[in-house]
Amino acid sequence: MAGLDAASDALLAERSADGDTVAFGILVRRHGPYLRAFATRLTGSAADADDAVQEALIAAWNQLSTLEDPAKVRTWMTSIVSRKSTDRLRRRKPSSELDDQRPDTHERGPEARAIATSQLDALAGVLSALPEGQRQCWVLKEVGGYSYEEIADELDLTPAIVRGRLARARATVISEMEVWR
Amino acid sequence: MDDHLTEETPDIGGSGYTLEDLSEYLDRGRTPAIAAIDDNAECQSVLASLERVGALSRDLVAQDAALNPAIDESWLASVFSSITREAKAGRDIPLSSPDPRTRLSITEGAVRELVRAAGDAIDGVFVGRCDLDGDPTETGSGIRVGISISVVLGSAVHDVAETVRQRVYSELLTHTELTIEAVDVTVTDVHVIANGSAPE
Amino acid sequence: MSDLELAAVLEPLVRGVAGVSTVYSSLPLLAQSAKQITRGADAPPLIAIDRSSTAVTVTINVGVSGSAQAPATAAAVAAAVRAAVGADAEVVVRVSRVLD
Repeated sequence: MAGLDAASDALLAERSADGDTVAFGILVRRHGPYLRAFATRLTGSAADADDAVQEALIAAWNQLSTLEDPAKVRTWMTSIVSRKSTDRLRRRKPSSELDDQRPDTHERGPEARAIATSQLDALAGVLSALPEGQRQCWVLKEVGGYSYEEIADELDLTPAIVRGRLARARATVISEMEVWR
Repeated sequence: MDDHLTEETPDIGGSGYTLEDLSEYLDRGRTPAIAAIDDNAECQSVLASLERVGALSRDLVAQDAALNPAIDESWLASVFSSITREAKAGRDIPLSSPDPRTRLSITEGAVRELVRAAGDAIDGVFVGRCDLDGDPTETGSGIRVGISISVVLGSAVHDVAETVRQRVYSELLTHTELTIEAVDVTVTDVHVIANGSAPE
Repeated sequence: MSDLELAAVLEPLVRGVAGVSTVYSSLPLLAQSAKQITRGADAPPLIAIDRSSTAVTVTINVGVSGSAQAPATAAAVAAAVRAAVGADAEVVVRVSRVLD
């Protein structure tokens, strides 16, 4: 039987839940790049992202039987990646300590320094310059689609703090992206 | 820590609402509706900008993924060396044994895998879910097998399902001693083969 | 002969039974480390021999070829092992996979 990569996410998830490593491999290749990109924007580090995604995929394999709607396997894997990423972030530094009123102590990355030639480049630069606590809330909210409560849970904060950090991040982003309107 | 820096957060467009308020209004789907925000041009402009940068953020991650589509093989290998099929073995399904000191069995995992392989072997079919209803560990008790399959768009669905049913039943007779009450095949999905070529 | 030697003797015996395509590890996963799974020199034997004060149990996990029949093959494996270990041992044969 060839061409299992033509199968839907739902079917592949069902087979993976039954122990089919080939089906799981196809899911990994299909969604791996997105999961890695998400984790990189969330953690700010490609190396951390690679590790987090690896751990998340292993956890996903073990928990596949708990997935109620196999068609939602990508969203489900993204949520596991979020948790593994934020676990790493918390180990680096407790979220509550991230002073989000001071600029990020990391140097602005090459994306920020280069002259942005597109909206997306510009946004990448703005995001990488955000204080880390704000950036984490941003990625989880805008890309991950999580609620304040869910973000607060993952980052070990209160929903009020999440709301505040998100608002400050939004203020920065919309003002810096104004020129691209 | 005080998260409401009220002296630094002016209201937007004279609406009486700050950016943080608008941010939260957006996140709860603009309900319940607040007229002072909905009727205020500058508020609407800010909300539109917030939605725009949100969408751009999702596009950014999608672009990242599109620009980095390759999965490093050794990275993938470390994932696979850590996952095993052991947990999927399931219960032992008894096979008749020649003497009391010999115990023979086939695992549930093996049965599901062979059901799946039987369906997959048919052109244009992928097996998805495979359920065994009943207690396979109790000798003689009847089992219903439920399978969901995906077929190639345009297939004669009835005929394909029937072929799958017969093949699965035959495999179960060959390799197990289960009392099969029924094999239910449901087509839950369709797929197309890439490039429109015939399935191999 | 030690249990390690016995397991080593039984393994080719089992592989030689018609219809057997693979011999899998009988040890529960937790007892195996990731390195051992890749069959290095220190890998534990595939066939498990457990002794209590009253009995010895030999456990074999096999993959059966799709062109054979799992029940008959399992019985044949048991018979081959029984011939080597005698009438008193418990023999457990588990078919973990049926392969094309």
